[in-house]
Amino acid sequence: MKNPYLPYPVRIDDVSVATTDRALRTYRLVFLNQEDEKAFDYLPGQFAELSVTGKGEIPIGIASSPTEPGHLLFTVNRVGLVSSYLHNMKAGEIMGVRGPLGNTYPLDLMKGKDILIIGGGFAFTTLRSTIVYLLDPKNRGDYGKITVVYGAREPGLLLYKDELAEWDKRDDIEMATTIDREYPGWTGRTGFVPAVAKEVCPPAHNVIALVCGPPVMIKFTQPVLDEAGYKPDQVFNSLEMRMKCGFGLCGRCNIGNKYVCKDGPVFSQAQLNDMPKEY
Amino acid sequence: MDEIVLKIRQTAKELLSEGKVDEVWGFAEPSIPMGCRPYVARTPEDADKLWWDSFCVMNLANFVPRRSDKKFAVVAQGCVSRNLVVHHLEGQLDLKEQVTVLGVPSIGMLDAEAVRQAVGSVEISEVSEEGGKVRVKGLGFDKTVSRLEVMRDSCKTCRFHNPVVCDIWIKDKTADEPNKDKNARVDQVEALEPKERQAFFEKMFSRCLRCYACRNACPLCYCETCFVDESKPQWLGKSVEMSDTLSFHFLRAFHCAGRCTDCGACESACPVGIPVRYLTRKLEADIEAKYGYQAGLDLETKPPMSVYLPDDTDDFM
Amino acid sequence: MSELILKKADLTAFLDALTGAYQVWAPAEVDGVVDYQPYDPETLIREKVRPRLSVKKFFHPQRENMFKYTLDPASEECNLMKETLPQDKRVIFGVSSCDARSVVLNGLPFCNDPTNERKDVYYQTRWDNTVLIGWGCDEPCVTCFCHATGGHPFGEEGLDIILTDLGEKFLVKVLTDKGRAVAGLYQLEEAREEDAKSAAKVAEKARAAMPGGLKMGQPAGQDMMGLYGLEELWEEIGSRCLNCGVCTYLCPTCYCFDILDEIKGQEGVRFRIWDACMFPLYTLHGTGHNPRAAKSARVRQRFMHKLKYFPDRHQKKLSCVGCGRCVVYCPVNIDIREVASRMKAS
Repeated sequence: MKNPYLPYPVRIDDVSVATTDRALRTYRLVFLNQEDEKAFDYLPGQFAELSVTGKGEIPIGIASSPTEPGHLLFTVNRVGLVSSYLHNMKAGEIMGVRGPLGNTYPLDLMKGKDILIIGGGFAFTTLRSTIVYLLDPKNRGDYGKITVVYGAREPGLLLYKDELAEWDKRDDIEMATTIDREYPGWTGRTGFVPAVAKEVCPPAHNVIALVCGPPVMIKFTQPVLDEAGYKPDQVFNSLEMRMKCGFGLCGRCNIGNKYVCKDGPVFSQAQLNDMPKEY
Repeated sequence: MDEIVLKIRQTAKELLSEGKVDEVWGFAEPSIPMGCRPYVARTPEDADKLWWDSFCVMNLANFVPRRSDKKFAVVAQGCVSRNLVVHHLEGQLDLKEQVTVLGVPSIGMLDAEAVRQAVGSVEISEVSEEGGKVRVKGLGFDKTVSRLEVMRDSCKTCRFHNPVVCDIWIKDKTADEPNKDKNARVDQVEALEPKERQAFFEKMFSRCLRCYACRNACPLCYCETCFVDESKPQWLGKSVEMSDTLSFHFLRAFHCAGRCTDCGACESACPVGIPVRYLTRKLEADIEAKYGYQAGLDLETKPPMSVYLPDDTDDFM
Repeated sequence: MSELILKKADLTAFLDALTGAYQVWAPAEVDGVVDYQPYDPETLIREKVRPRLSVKKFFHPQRENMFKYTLDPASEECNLMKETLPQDKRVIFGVSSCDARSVVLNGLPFCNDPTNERKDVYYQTRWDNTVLIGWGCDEPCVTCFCHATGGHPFGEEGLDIILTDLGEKFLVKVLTDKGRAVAGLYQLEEAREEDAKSAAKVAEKARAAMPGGLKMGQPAGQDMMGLYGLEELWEEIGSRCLNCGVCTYLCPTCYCFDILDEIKGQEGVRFRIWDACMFPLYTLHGTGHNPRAAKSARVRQRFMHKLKYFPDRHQKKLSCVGCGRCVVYCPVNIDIREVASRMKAS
C-alpha cells in the first residue's frame, strides 16, 4: 500500500533570496528519483508539504509550472519552526516533498475565456505557476486575454522581479504591477491592489478572475469585482490554513464541511458564500 | 427544593434585576447524576436556572471574566473565594469594586470518582443526600455510603470552609479548621526512597492522556500560552512520553506554588482519576514551611514567589 | 457464519489459547480505572464493562511512529524517511458494539473515502491485524445512546466475534474470517437452536430498555450555515467549556491528529499524536492568525464535525456511536445528547 505520508526525497538545487527584507527565499528542488518526478503530477494552484527531517512539514504552494519540467519551485516565508530552519538550508542538502496536494485553479473552466489574475505580497507563488502555464506555447491558444494585477508594499517585496519584467515586455499578457505608495527609484505604477484592479479589470463578460493575497487585499478586492459585475462563480480565491496531513484527514483546516487541503485551496466565491467565514 | 438553591436564585435575581451586577456565576442543574455544570446568569429569568449540590466542584474563579469592566457575582466556597483573592492580587480583577461574593460555606464537596469506586460501577442513575449519608442507585444496586467516604480529598483536608471574602452569605458560616494537618500525601511521598518516589509518580502519571483538563480547570492556569504549548522554542515534547508528561505536571505545579488554594478542581477534572494534588500539595507545604504563607487568605499579601524581600530565605540557593 | 458455545468457566482457557498467536487485551482495573490492559487471567473482569478509553487506541494510538530516519551525514540514508508500520497481531476482548462501530466509522475518512485516493496505511494495517471480540450490552448503561446514532447494543458492525451472555455460558457468534481464525484456536461446541433464540431475546430486551425520543441524527439533515449560526447555543456552551481534551480523547470517533518530528542524537522519528479541535494551537497559523480563536468557535467545531460535517462527507453517518463517555467525564457537563437536540436551525 502506498504511504500517503511518505515524502519524495529531493535535493535543493538552488536557493535564492526572494525579497529585500530577506523573509522569503525561493527553493529549486530536484527529485532524487526520476520515477518520483513522474508520480508528482501537478497543475497550477496545488501545494505540497515540504519536509525537513527533525523539524517537520509545512504546506507551501507550488510556484513552478508543470510546463517547466526537471525541478519544482517553492517560495517560503520565514514564520515558524520548519520555515526558519529551511531558511538556513543550502544547495545540495536533501529534504522531502509530499504531494501534489489540493485542487487546482479551474484550468478547464478558464479555457476560451479572458483571465484576470490578482495577487498581493508573497501570495503570488501559485499565480506565478498559473501565468507560466498559461503563457506556455502549448496552452496559450486555449485562453483569451490575460491581465495581471500584482502589488506589494515596496519594490523589494515583489516576487519574481525578472519574470515580471519579461512578462511586461510581451504583448500577449497585460501586466499591472504596483506598489502601495511612491518609493525612491520606482517608476512604475503606485496604489493598492484593489484600486489598480478597479482601473484595469476587463468587463465581466467571459472572464475568470483568480485572486490570491492577504485577507485585507481580498476583503477590498471582492467589492471591486462585484461592482465590475463579476459573478461569484467567476471569481476564484486560494486560501491558506494550518495543515498537517494534506488530504482531509487530520482535521484542522476545515471551513464548514470543506477541507482546504483537499477540497481547496482554490474555492470559487460562490462556494465561499455558502461557507462559514472561518478562515 | 434545596434551601441553598432557592437562596442563590433569589439573591441572583435581585442583583440582576437591580442592575447591581451584569452576571452571576454559579452552576446549573446537570444532565446526569454527579454532573457539574458551571453557568452564568445574565437576566433575572436566567437566575431560575441556578443550582447547587455537592458535586459543584469546578472552581468558578476559573470561569469569571478577567481583565474586564464587568461587575459580577460569584457563588463561592472557601477555596473559590481564595482564588478570587489570588486573581485580585495578580491584577486579574478588582475584588472590591467588581465582584459580589455569594458565600456558601462548604461542608465538603463530593467526589464522583470516589462514588463510582464506592459502588463499584460507573453506571449510576441517581444520587441523593440526606444527613451525612449519600444514597447511590444504578443498574442492579442501591447503596448508601457515608459522605466522608466519598468526599473529595481536597475537602477532607480543607482548612478554610468559609469564604475569606464574602458580600452575601447564602448559608450560615461553619467553623474553619486553620490548624488542620493536611500533609498526609506529602508525608507519604517523602517517606519513599528517591527510586520508589520516581516509580510512584511514573505509575500515577502513566495513564495521563495530556488532555490538559487539570490545567484548564485550574484558576491559576491563565497564561495566554502555556509553556507546554510553546513551539519557539519548544520546551517539552508533545506526546505521552513519561519524561514529557512528568515534566509537564511538575512544572505546572511549580508555577502554582504559593498561588494554589488546593481547591481540587484539577483532580475533579481528570478523566482518568489521577491524584494530581500530590504535586501541588508538596509545593504548598513547602511555601507554608518556608514563608508561613497560604494563598488567598487576605487582599494585601502577595504570593511569595512574586515578591522579593531582603530577608527572603535563601537556603535553597 | 457459525454459532458456538463458550462456557463461562472456560473463558480464561479460551483466552489463554489465543495468547500464542496474538497479543490479547481485555478490560482490567488499575488504580480504580477500568481500561483495556494486556490480558491477565487474574485481573480479567468477567462482566460486561465500558472501559474508560475506547478501542480507538488500538487502531489510532495516541502516538503512532510513522517514519524513522538518521541525520548522520556519514550515512547513505541520511535524511531519508523509512516507513515504520505497526506489526502486532492483536485480539481485543470484551468490546462493546458501540466501540466496534467506531472503528468502521473512523475507517471512512482513514481508508474508505471514495473521494480520496490516499489511504492511511497505519490505520489499515492495524485494522487488518486486530481481531475484535465483542460482548453485547445486555444492560445498556444509563448514559448510553448507541441506538440514537445508528447502532444497537448487540450491533455486529466492526466486530469479528460477538458474545451474548446466557448466564453460565456465552453464545459465540463468529462474524468474519478473522473471527473464525481466532475461534478455531479453541475447541468450542456448536450452539443449539434454542441458544441462538435465547441470545436473540437478550438482544431484543437490551434494545427495548434504551430510552426513546432521542434523535442524534437531527442536525445532519439541516442547513449547515443555519446550525453554524446558532450563536446563542455556541456561546452558552463555550462559556463553560474548559477547552480540554477530555471529550475528544475519550471519544471513540474523534480522530484528529498532529504530525511531529523528534530527534534523539542523530536518530529521528516522525510520528503522529492525537490532537483536539478544542486546543487553540490546533488551528493557529504561523502568522499568529487563528481562524477559530474563540472558545465558542472551537466547541462549535466539535459538535458540527460530529453531527453535520462528518455526515455530509460520509454517507450521512454521524461521527458518534453513543458510548456516553463524553457525557460521563466532561468536567463541565457538556452533554452531546442535549446539544444535538438543541441544534435546530431556525
